Parts: sequence; structure tokens; C-alpha cells
Amino acid sequence: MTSHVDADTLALSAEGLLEDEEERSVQQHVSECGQCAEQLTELAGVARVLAEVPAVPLPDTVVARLDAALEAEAAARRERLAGTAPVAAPPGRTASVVSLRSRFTAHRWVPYLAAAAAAVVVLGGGAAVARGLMSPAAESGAAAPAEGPGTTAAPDAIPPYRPVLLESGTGYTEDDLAGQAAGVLADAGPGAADEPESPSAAPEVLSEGDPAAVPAEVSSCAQGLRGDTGEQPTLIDLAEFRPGGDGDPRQAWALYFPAGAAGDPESYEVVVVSADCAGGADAADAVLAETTVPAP
Amino acid sequence: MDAVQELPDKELLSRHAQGDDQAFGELVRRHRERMWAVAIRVLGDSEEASDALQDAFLSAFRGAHRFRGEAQVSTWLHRIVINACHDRMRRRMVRPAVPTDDATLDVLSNERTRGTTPDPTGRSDSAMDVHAALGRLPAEQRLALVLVDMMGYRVDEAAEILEIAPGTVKSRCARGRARLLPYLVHLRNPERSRDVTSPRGGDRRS
Repeated sequence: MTSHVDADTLALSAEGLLEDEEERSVQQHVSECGQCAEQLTELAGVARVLAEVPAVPLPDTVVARLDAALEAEAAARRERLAGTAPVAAPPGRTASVVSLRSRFTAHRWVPYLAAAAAAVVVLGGGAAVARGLMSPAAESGAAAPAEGPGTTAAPDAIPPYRPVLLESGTGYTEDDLAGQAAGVLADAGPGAADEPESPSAAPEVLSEGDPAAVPAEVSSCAQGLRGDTGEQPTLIDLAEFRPGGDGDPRQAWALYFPAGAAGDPESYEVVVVSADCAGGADAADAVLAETTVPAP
Repeated sequence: MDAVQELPDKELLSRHAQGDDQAFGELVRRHRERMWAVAIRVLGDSEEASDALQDAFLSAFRGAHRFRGEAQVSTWLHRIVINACHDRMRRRMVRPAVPTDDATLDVLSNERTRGTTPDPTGRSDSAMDVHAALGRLPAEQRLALVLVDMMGYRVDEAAEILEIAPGTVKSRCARGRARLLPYLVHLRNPERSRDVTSPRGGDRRS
């Protein structure tokens, strides 16, 4: 064998993954070729470089955020398990919120069901991982959580999140979105008058100012849409969307993101998403329509 | 009554599934450091890792009743975290391409430093280089290398987490190391040029 061995083949050889004949010819070549022998050494160096990357300790801010998210989820579950309605919601409305949740959850977990069915048990392997987990600090000397004043003060303190969750009964359409959104804001938005202007169309306010009342899939959808900025919708309307204005209505959420100074928005970005909006990567796919309306 | 701190993982998960309010919090306390370590290494970005960690623990919270008990809870959690990271990586792939020249890598490093908490370990430039290089790998190679080379898991442990054969773990690691070679060689041999062309082999799948 005269030609040099490519890095892929050298790496596979190092893992003992080549067929006997190819392995022999690779070894033969490496024994005669300083360049390839050096590359083989460098490949081992890659693994070492990776192993030596220092651990980044889990920041306190991340712990706090995780605790808050799980506490909200636990509160939502307590409500569900207790069979009690969310704040101020009549039973009929509650049922529709719960059905959204269960549909979403079932959909989301299909891959994990399949994964569980296909699980391979390697005796001993998992146990070793678990032992490591029992003493997380043992992973690396540098893995101890940082607990200094410098790590807890967020650069931009976020005002308390006080979302309004409602069912306005609006059938949002693409063409009328701006007008519809302005109407909902006027009736129910933060700072709206106690008495709606048109009592016949009074929106059903499910909760006010309670982040825990926001269904988790709505939160994760909003976060998927605006994860980069941390923006959260201050008004969430569990409603419907009519494609083309007169198509079959489908369940949708209108998320109102305030723009401008915190606590005193100049306008709202209104994003209507399909009610099967998944968090994370796919949130953007669920967007049905969006617009910007001035704050009332 | 048992203190939750003394219960095994599986017992905690089943208590949680039955409505116990304290059990899941204890599981999170036990596993969050390790799950963070996986997420930050896979994603290389504190914000993304934080999001993935939250997605993962919320998924585990909701799906606890589907845990069957064949695997260790930690293995199951690893899978969920890795799935959450995978979602984040897919999302990032629709964003602008990863920069390739050194000048942009510096910008990338600055961006990653900005907005993260101060790092008492003095996260080095080489760590940034490693994360930038890992970002060029296909996801499956990156996951295998994170678990085996960076986290130090045995091949069979990584295989169970990733639900693939041990041989597949090895070949993904091997191909991943070969791909990283031109980007990381300068970390060991600073006198050598960083300007090495891409390794051959490309994307042969295992």
C-alpha cells in the first residue's frame, strides 16, 4: 500500500473497526509512513483535548429558572389532579383547556413511547451512570455550583410576569387580525377598564397575573417562538382561527407580546399559533398569522 | 415516612407519577448538574443549554408515568435531555451557517461569552475552539463524542443512552475525531498551522 491512509480510516483502525485485511494494510502503511503515524497520534490527541475541556458549572440563574418552570408545572398538575377549575373559569371552559393539554401531551410523547419499547438493557452500564449521578460533584472538581453574588444578579432584572389568560371567543382571521386583536386588547388587555365596552362580547378571563395558570404547552410554544429574547406574552387568548376568513375554525392561541418599555408597552406583537404548537424547534411552524397593533 | 432524599430514583419517579409533590424536585436536584453538563457540551451555549434543560425536565415531569423501569432513571433522563438538545440543534440548522474562518470564530467566541454568567473555571479559548469545532460535526457524531470523550462514559453506557449498538458508538466517535482533527490539532501543537484543509471521508454514515 503506497497511498496515505485518510483520517477516517485511521480513526476506525484505532477503534478496531476495520476488517482484518484492511487493518493489516493500514498497519503496514503506518509502520512505514511517519506522516500517517503522526496523524494516528494526533487522533488520540483529539480525544484528550475533548476530555480536557473544563466543565461549565450549572449557573444559579438556570437553577432558579428550572425551579420556577417546574413549580408552575406542579401547580398546574395540582389543579388538574384536584379537579378544580383554574381561577375564575367555569367548568365548561376548564374542560377545553384540559383537553388541549392532554392532546398535546399524547402527541409529544409518541417518540418516547417508541423509544421505551425499543430500549436495550445493558447490564451494569446504567448503574455506573447512576452512581456517578448520585454524587454530581465527583464528575469534576470544577463542577461545584457557583454561589457568588456575581452570578445571581441578572444583568437586566425582569419585572414580574403577570399574564392574562382568557377565552375571548374570537375567531381570528388573517385579514382582520389587527382589528380583532385591538378589540380584544381594549376589552381585556392589561389596564383595560373593568367594564368591557361591549358587554355582549365580554371575554372569559380565565386567570389574571398567575403564570402558573398558563398551560405549559402555551408557555413552551411562546418560548419556542421567542426563546432568544426571553419575551413572554402578557395576554394569551385561547381562541380559534379561521383560515381564509370562512374556512373551518381550528383551535388556536393568540399570543400578545408587548413591545416597548416593560410594564408600559407601546404596541403588541400578536402571533396566532395553531393549538398543536410544539415548543422548541417547531414552534415557528405553528404560526398561522401575525401582526402588530398599538397598545390601547 | 421516608425522607425523599433517601429514596432511589425509580421510587421517586413512581411517587411523582402517583401525584407526590416532592418527589420530582428531588430527582431534579440529583440529576440537574449532570444533565446540564451534557446539554452545555452538546450545545456549547448557556442559553441554549438552559432552554434544553428546561424542556427536558418538563418532558420528564409530564412523561414520568411512561417510564417502564427497564432502564435506569438516569439513562432515561439522558435520553430526554439528548432529545431536547437534538431539537435545539435542528432549530439552529435553519439559522445562518456556522462561520468558518478564524476571524468569525473570534466573534463567535465573544458572542458566546457575552450574556453568560462569569465562569470561575476561566473557560478558555481552547474550550471555545472545541465547541466551534464540535458544531461542525453531524449531530450523531457530536453526541457520541460528548458522551464518550468529553463525559467519559463507557461505550456501552453511551450505547444504551443513544439506543444504538456499541459498535455504532465507536464508529461515530472515530469519524467524529477524524473530522475534528484539522480544527483541534493546533491545540496540541501550537506551532503548526491552523489552516489545514478539511479531512477526507465526509459524511459516510455508520
